[in-house]
Amino acid sequence: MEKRILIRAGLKRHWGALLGIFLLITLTATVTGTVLTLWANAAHEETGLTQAGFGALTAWVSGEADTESLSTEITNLDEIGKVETQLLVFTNYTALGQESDSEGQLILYEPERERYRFFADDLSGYQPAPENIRPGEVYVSPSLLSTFGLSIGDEITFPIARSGRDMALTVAGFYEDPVMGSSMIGMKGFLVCESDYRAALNTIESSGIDALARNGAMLHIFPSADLLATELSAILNERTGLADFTEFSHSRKAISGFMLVLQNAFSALFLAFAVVLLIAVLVIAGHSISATIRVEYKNMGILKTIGLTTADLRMVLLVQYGIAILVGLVLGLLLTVPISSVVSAATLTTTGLRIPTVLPIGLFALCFSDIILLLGGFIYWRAGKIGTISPMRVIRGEMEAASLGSSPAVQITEKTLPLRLAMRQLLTGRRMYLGTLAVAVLLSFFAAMIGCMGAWLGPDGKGMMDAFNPADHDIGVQMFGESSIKQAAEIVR
Amino acid sequence: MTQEGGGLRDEGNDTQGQKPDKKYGETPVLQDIDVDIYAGDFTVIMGSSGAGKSTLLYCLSGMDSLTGGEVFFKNQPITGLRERKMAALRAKEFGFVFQQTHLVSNLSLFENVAVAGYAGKSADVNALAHALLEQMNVASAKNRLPNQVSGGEAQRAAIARAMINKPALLFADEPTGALNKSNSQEVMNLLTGLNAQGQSILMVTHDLRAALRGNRLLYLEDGKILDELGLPTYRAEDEKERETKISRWLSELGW
Repeated sequence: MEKRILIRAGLKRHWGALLGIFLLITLTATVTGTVLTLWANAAHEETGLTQAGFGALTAWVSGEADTESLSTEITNLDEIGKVETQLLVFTNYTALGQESDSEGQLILYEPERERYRFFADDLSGYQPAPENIRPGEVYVSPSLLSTFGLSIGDEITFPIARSGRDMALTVAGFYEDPVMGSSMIGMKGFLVCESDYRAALNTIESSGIDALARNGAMLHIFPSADLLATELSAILNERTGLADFTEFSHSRKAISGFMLVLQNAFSALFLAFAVVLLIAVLVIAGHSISATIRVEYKNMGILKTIGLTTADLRMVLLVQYGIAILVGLVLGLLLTVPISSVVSAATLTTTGLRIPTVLPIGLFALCFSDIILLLGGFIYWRAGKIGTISPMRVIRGEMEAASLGSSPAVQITEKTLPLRLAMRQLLTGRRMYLGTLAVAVLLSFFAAMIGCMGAWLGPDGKGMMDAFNPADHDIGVQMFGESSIKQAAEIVR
Repeated sequence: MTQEGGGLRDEGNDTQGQKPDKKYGETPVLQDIDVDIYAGDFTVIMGSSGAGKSTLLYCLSGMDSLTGGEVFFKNQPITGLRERKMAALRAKEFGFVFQQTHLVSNLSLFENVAVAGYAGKSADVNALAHALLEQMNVASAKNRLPNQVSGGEAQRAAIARAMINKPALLFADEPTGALNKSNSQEVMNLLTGLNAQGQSILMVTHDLRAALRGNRLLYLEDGKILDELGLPTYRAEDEKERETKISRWLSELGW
């Protein structure tokens, strides 16, 4: 009961300092909670891949590949469980006057397979998958909104063959593409109906060498045993003819990793921010506790004369700060819900995924109990100074000298008095000023890091994309036939 | 040693100092002291400034550390007790009234009294705190902070705080030292009243008017008890006679 009275009085007296701690903790909890929510829901990408029919490895094949016999050949291997084929056409595309620097894929929409989730027109949520895509229409990833500025009703042109044999399709809506949806990936998938797909195939066939597009397929390979992607790839290359027709192949892990690059980069950045904030909380709480003990030195000494112990007074201080911290954590966690939704919605046109905002309760419990233990332990440790408070010193009125510590070395003289007073103040509170400096440095470092990160990523992550995309070099050369790399280099020179 | 009114004592002693020795650096403050404080007594320690009066009081209460000797309370040594045990002793057995009131500045008078009550695990603390503040005539100011009341009111609240756990011994260090004449009179009347109800008090003072209230006076000089004077229980009508007696005793001691 006596502690309750003291806690109430302490909260009233030190509300300013406690409010500061509360606000910092609220911000820390919100940032941490949001990052954890988005990170923990990354499994959404995996779910999307499964729904889209992706196996452990997917090979994109093109040209003269007889996908049916290729599938049979692969399936006959002991290590392979099954192979699923998804038909497509590789083609360049132009939207709103901008030509894509990476190829797109016209993917045959198979409504009965329910491979994809479709967004509402305003991207506020999902809507049921269309029974069929109408001829002349196409569904695209929402990342085309940020990269091309495309919206529903806009037209995309696909040059299927020379002499203007283009296919123009109108954007009818957006779908969640777990493979090429991110703005980080230049390649894009376009869902089309069977008649448009067949029309593109016919054009390719009838155009012969004038064809610009080429038919292809995705072969989703499901091993029967637990194999590494490299092992699986090696088996397929050695024992099947897959390599002759493969344009590229990616493991499920690689696809998911690349799709989540942006999300993970931003998560790491904000996690770093949360750590910086937590350090700031520790520094500020440390100074606040020291200041509180200095201000309350006399009162604490008096309380010891009436029978309170150091442990009692430490507990009072711990509860005072604990209340500010716990209320801040709870408010921060409550704010996590709307903030995560806002972040998820805001990143939809960049990541191409609508990351769910289901709160990971177990992860929260683990993470926030660690934060509580860290802060609680720190506060209890810092409050250990209360043990040095002697009731006798307080009774004798010696507390000011005892609490101020060693006197500074700067002598007071008439000459340059203001400067000397300022130096004394600086030296007396050196630990506090150093702490404040450390917090300022950390926050500045973080702000600078955001600036660098922004420059590196560029608009919509294009900077990062260019860094990895050989197609964005000044010139790219692909050699066919027997020429060596040396000969190729000579030709280019 | 002068002794009068010996019938005031209880059977045993409450607090006993067996050669409590105290030095500040190499300077001895207390030396060769053997003193018993008896239950029910109003013991007054007098002496000139710097004689070691307050140091003796705080050494006997366990508040100040000793450089030698030992202090017993109810036949148990209290020297070098661990913080928790010493805190329990302060909370339940001892009460303190200081020259500066030393109330907790951010608690109201009532809260100051109640906190001590809760620390001492007393029953029905709220009612007791109200009753004590009433008895000390500061009930009307109970919700005010110490800096919002007069010195006399604050000191009376401090006495209420010291009394809430019904301590075996009340230590008072110059309780009227910072008060004007009328407030001093009022505080001394309260302490005398408490002693009349059986409260043991050990008070340090250099004020003759305050010392009149004691029934046992100890005179300290250079850290040694030079003499002791026993008196009958205080009665207002005997005040002149007591004053003369004490004055004579003190002048004999060279005060």
